Amino acid sequence: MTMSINTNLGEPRDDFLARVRAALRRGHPIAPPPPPTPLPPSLEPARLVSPASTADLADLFAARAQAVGMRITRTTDADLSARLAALLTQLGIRSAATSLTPGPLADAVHAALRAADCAPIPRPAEPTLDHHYPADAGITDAHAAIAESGSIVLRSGPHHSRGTHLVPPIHIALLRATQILPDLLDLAPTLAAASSPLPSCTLIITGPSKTADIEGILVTGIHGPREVHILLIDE
Amino acid sequence: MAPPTPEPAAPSPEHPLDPPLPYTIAARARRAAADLQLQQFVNTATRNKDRARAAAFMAAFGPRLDEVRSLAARIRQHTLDHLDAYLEQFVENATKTGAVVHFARDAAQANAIALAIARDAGAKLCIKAKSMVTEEIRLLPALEAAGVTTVETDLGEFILQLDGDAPSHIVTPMIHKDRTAVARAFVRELGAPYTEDPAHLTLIARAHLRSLYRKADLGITGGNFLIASTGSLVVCTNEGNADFCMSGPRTHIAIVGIEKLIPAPEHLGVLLKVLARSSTAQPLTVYTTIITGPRSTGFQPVPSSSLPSSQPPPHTPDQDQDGPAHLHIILLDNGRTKLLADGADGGAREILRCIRCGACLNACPVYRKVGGGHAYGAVYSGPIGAILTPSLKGLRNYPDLPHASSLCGGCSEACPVRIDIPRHLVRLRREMAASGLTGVRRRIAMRLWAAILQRPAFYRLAAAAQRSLLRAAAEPGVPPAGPCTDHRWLTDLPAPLDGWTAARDFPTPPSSSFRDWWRTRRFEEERP
Repeated sequence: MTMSINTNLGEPRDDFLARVRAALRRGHPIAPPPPPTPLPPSLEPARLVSPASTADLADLFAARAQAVGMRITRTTDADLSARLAALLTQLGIRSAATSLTPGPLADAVHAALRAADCAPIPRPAEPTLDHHYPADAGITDAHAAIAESGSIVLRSGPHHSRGTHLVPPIHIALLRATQILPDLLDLAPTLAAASSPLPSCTLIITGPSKTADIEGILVTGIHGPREVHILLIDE
Repeated sequence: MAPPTPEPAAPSPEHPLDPPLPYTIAARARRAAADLQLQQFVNTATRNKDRARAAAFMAAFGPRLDEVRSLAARIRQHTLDHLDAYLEQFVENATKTGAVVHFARDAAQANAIALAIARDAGAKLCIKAKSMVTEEIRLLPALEAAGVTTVETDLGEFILQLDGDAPSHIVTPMIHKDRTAVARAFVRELGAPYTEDPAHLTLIARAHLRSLYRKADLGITGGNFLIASTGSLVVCTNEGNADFCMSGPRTHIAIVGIEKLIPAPEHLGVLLKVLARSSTAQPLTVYTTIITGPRSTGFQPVPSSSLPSSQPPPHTPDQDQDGPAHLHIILLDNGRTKLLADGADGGAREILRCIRCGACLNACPVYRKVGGGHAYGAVYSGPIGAILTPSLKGLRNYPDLPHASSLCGGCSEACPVRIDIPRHLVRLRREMAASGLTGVRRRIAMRLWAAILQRPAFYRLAAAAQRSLLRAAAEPGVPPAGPCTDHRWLTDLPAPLDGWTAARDFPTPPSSSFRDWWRTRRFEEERP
């Protein structure tokens, strides 16, 4: 990194901010901004789904995720490996990249890959997405899910690439029913916990990659995956 | 299979969104109104989207619909009313995450910053997501001129770039083109076999763009929101193209208008809910990406010299596998503080609430009739463009836009952040009159009109004179179907009134006025 890249180019920060303060009539000489007055105390009018039992949320999530074009397979911890292996075989997947937190879930995935005779693609040392391009599928776990919109939430990190869900033509996500939040409004508290700062990339996925730019006709798989499969692990 | 229609004429040297100023709408609007195919594309697309939006809002929020719009409006207005505080907070927090924040007073500065970063990164190939702000500052030609090959990756923008064309809608940029235009562009520019199947065309684009994603060394995006409390950038797409731009290349530049701030992540939920439903009737866009800093190395970033040393060391997220090494966020003013300064009730500050969903475009009968965005002669089109463009670039330069509306109110009904667009249109018209920008003829006519309306005797006299004069000049008309309905028709008025009769007949007043009829009627009723 050269020096100039870290230097603020353009207008000096103080001049820029002073113009904003002047526009807001903060007085002369320009005083520091007052603390923002609190916003409307409740965002609840925008809530569409209230907290409910895990089973009910799982049913709602499955319905909504299917409505946006994702494919749901309901399973359990005991059946996970077999179901995943069956899915890999059914989809004809011969190689897969993975982004998984080490643990029982990751172990189940690796067992399934072996059972389905599917080659795991090793991660290179360099920070690049390149190894995802030849993969038939990308397999990830999830940080959370949202029942109301049928979305899954992923985070980047030491075990999670930004490419696994994006580059291969098929994305397979593993999700526990207990991870499902009722509403998008419930996501913020899980993101902004002071003890764990936001990762560089947090992603809410709601369906396969889509476009309707040509005459409004919906086509999937324009840049990202054309299919998103979710293995939903019920309690 | 041969293309069914001939190749389009070479694009005119005048850029559709950057015409010579002052801009007058008439020529483009007339051309568009006569283009039946264009009328049909825009009509179908906007009507379908408008219907789907209304249905999606009703299905999700039902009777709370207006309450939710008010909540979104309050969040946006609150942020604008305290934009100085939130900007400072954003800059501080974004810097802590390792992002470099730059400040651009105008388009030229923003382009200069982006070019300097590109040069510094040694960038040769830039992949770019769709962004209205980059259109506003005309970044792409600047990058190309500096030798950085830049590829639009949103499918619609990619096709427009191949065709040397410009977007005509904030959300669906290719609303004015059909599949045959895409097919021809792919044959001509990519050497692809001719096909009109949208799925096949999409695959051709996918393969072509993927080959570029792997080579690109610079990614450029706009931003849908900036979160003050976390220093994050939020980018929404359905295609996932922005995620390639933000994750693959070593350097990511985001250029964002200062009005895009929101206070904290919890407010994001409310705004995302209304944004996707307003744009495309989806519960959420397919990819809603929250970027907080560049790829984390697991070490805390070098504290910026602008931060007081008393601050606690910043949190550092765990080391990332990939992502850009450098994240630059360019905050753009470019006239926005001018709007911000007008904080009165109904003042221009309210316009900055806009989240660029495009709902007002789809709801607007004028946008439809003028064949979409190009008639507005600027990047921001439709009802929001009709108030934003003259406010940013001067009423003098865009004197027609505040009049490019029937004030039907469809736009403000559709707006998820309740911008009262008709009220702003009327305000701008008033400002034009007050600053002498209204034409002499119109001014005299309006004065005369006001003088007559204020005096009942004048009004009666003028109405009677108008009635007999017009009826004398007209073709014999329809027999009366009821009181006051025996209109005649004028088919060929002299200039300047021929603007009306060129396309339709003008009905004269009936032989007796409403006032005459009312007098008779009252008289009849009073009889026993």
